[in-house]
Amino acid sequence: MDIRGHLDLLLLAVLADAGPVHGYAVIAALRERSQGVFDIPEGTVYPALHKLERAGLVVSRWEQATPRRRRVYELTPDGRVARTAKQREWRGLVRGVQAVIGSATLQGMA
Amino acid sequence: MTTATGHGSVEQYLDEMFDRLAGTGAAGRRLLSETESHLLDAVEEGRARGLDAEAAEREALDRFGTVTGVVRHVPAAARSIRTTLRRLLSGTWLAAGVLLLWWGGSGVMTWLLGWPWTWLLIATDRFGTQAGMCGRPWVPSNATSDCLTRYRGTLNLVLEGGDRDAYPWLAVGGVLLLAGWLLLRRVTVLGTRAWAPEPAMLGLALALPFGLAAPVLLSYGVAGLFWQAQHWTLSYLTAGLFATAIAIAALRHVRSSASPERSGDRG
Repeated sequence: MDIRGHLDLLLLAVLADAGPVHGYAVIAALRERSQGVFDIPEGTVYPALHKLERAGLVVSRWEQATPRRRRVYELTPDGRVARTAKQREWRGLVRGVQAVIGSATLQGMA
Repeated sequence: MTTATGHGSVEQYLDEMFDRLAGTGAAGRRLLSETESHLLDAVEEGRARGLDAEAAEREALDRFGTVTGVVRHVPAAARSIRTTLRRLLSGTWLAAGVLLLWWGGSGVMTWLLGWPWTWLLIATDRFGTQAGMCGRPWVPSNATSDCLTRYRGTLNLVLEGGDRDAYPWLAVGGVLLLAGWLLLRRVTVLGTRAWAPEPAMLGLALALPFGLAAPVLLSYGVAGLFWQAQHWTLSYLTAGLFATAIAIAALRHVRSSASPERSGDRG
């Protein structure tokens, strides 16, 4: 499924629930929580996380873990606000799409 | 660079990414580091599921995406000012080479074509609309040079006059600039992405001015054909055709740089 345009919301949602996590864990959580529905190149998640960081919605730091160091990401207060706002937008969009699809289906059946 | 790999696919991938990220500064270094960490984690996970090293690497790379697909998300803003200046310098170098070659080359070609052009004028008397161009009163009876040399001497080179001796040197200068660029990019850092001008930007920077100049020059040249074959007609036609060729080549360069075949890489 093509999730371009919605990746920001998905990443904010994962980070909001998971707390400070590194990129690999974010991607694994995305895969597990979507039950494999989202088939995105995993490499594109890192530039998306960097973009969120530049926007001030996420902070990151290097964490020296065994056997190698990883970059750990965490939501900022602004990120939490943005997540709530984007979630609200998404639900509104879903309601609208559902309404259109529903009426179209009814017309098609009539 | 890496430690836990099978047949080196991950190293190869990281090497390719390193090359593609050259000039992207801190953002590129960070992405490369995270990519390495991610791929090693993914390979370890695959091995833990019972895959052999090669299959685990292949699966990790397939899931991660192509180098091109990932690298194109590194924003242009992350590129350093130094890289921008390097690319600007390279682009200016190439554009200067093309400009010199066009100007000098047009003069040289006009000079070379001057012989058949003048011969055609004399032989047909058509362009001058006057018969007997080699007789009086057009050429005095005591002329010190023959008719062909005399008329050819009146031909202007590129765009109304100019120093005839300078044109070959300008053309040679353009060729040397372009050949020097091709040579240096093979053996120096000029061959890295950090110094390579953006193909689309360079193509447009050449296509636009030459594309605008070409119809103007050609229209002057064609108009001159019907107006007693003015002495500047040949030079305008030559420069206009040369500019057209450069504009077309530059546009093709822009198109090829935007095509998927050029930007594609292994999956």
